[in-house]
Amino acid sequence: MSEQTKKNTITDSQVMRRNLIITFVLMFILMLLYAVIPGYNYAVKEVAIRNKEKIEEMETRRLNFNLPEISWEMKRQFRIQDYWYIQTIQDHTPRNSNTVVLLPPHSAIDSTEEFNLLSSSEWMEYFLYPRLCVSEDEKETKKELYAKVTHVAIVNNWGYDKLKYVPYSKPSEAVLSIEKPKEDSTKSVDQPLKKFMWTDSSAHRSDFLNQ
Amino acid sequence: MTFVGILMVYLVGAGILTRISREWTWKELIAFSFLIGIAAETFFMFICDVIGFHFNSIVLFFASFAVVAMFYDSMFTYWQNKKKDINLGTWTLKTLNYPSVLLGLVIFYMFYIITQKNLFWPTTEHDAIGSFDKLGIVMALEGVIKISLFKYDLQGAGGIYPPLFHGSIAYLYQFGATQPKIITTLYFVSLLLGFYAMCRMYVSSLSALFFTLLLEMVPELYSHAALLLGNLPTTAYVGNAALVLFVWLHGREKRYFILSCILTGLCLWIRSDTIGFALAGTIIIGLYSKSEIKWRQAGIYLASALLPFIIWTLYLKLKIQTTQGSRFVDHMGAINMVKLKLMLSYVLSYFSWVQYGNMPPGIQLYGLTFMLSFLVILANIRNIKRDKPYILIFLLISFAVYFMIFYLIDEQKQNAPIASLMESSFKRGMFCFIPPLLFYVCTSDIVASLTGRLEVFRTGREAGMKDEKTVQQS
Repeated sequence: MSEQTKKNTITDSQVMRRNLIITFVLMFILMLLYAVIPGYNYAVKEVAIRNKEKIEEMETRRLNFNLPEISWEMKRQFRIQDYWYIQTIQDHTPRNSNTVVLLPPHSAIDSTEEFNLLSSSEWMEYFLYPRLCVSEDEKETKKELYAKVTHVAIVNNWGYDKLKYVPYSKPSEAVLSIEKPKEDSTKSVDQPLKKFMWTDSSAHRSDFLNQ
Repeated sequence: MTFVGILMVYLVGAGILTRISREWTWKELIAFSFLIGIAAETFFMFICDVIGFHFNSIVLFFASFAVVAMFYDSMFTYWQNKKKDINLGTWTLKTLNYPSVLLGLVIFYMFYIITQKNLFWPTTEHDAIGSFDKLGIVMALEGVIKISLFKYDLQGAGGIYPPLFHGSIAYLYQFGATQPKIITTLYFVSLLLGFYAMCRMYVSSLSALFFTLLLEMVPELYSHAALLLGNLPTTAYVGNAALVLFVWLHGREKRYFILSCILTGLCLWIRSDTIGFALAGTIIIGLYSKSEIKWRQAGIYLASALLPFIIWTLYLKLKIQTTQGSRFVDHMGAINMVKLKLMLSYVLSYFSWVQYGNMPPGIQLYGLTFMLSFLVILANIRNIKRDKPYILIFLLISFAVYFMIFYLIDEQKQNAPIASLMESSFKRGMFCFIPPLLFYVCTSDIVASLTGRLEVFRTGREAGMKDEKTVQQS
């Protein structure tokens, strides 16, 4: 490299002293940026450090209680509020492209924050593939798919009128075949679908951390 | 298996780069290899799709292997010539560059934390679930780009985007990855390393590291380093394409021009709305290239940039039966002053500490980036015509085009009001302007002079900015 250089006029000790001075000034500048500029404070404190602490806390508790490795599914349950219901749909519908799940309209779930994305077929398809899904809101725009519905995602008691039969019981959340099945699955539902430890998402999160 | 897939990406990219030139530094080679390699893999996928052949990991591996075998001799020669550069240099505790070590450690630590976060959590972002990750999974399972979900319009908004980003996710899934988000980390490495390598050509390591840290810690960008969204990868392509173009215009070798053509083409292979950067690049080549055939060079640059755009537009029209312009207004009427005023208010908010709408102000989203840059531009106003004016022209033109694209979006067709678009898509698209802007600030006369003086004080030697003459001599 052809950097212009002149004869070094200071000793190595002076170089070290000067380097250390600049390092301290630099540290001060970085601390100042962190303290004064709200964006950097947010990035370091919230995006980086707090999340690192949360992950470490979860891992420490897991190790202390000799719990198994935190699975992908558990992490999803932690982050996606209605994942327990999505898993219910996965468990109660055949895994093939002939299965078309009818999702509730936005108006049926807008009062329940937990389910706020359940009516989005684009979003739900990620979890349900190779099954297909269509929202009640898309009744007019996706007629072809709507005509092929095989299962109904019942949420907040919405969707029982779509069934071609009257089920044995009517839990507020269920996933039922649109045609009358050989065995009515609602007969065996003696507990809510939502697992007992997940009464709501915030409580679930604190349970997870305080286990 | 995933490791093999990633290694093949780097080898394919390195093969293509070393065929262009064997003068790349290691930093350049690592940063650009990934960007070119992963794009090559998506081209293989695209070719398979067009000829009606389902792609899978074996097909992609052998296609990559063929490229590696083809370019083996150039890679081997590069290794022979450059292996001596892999060393830690000569230093003692007394002469160690402590400020650079501090900055390097901070950069590395912050990178480690965000990578840990990225790899710990599964995909949960709305757009990734509704579009990119879903497209990636289904592409990997079905082995085609036009996946079955297009039939029922379940592909999501990203379905009409060129396939580079979701193709790269599909590539990882095909090689057995359970966590596709590692792709974000690899793009982040390329962005930071490429930026550092380009800045380091002009300024001391201390200055280059400081600005790399500023780039890394742009709050909104930093949070995206733990998400599976397309904005950070797009920034990696746009930022590096712009920087190598500036380096070439500043009098560097032809290899930077070739690389810029390739990377700009790939910008349009990842997002079609980056077309403004290609147009801006073409104009500055025409205006500022020192070659006698500058307009011919501008034409080559534009053609290489537009080629992927045209290919993808044709694919959308002929195979998927949709168009990229389907979300824009049909006809231009009178200027919509309400929309324009609202958009300008948001832009003012991005560039300052003023809050507008429900969005945090610019100082929270982008830190000091824009305000520091405007301050330096103002301080450097006397030299503005002499000190790399093409960077500012590039930024102005590309921003004008970017702004125009959003202005022309039909809110009803897009199914979102413009305020919501400004607070999401537009805000994230602003990332692309940050690397060129910080590069301008870092290498501007005023900052280079300041950091040069600091370097003289630190070492007792004059080793400041390498000017154009010394660059050409070397």
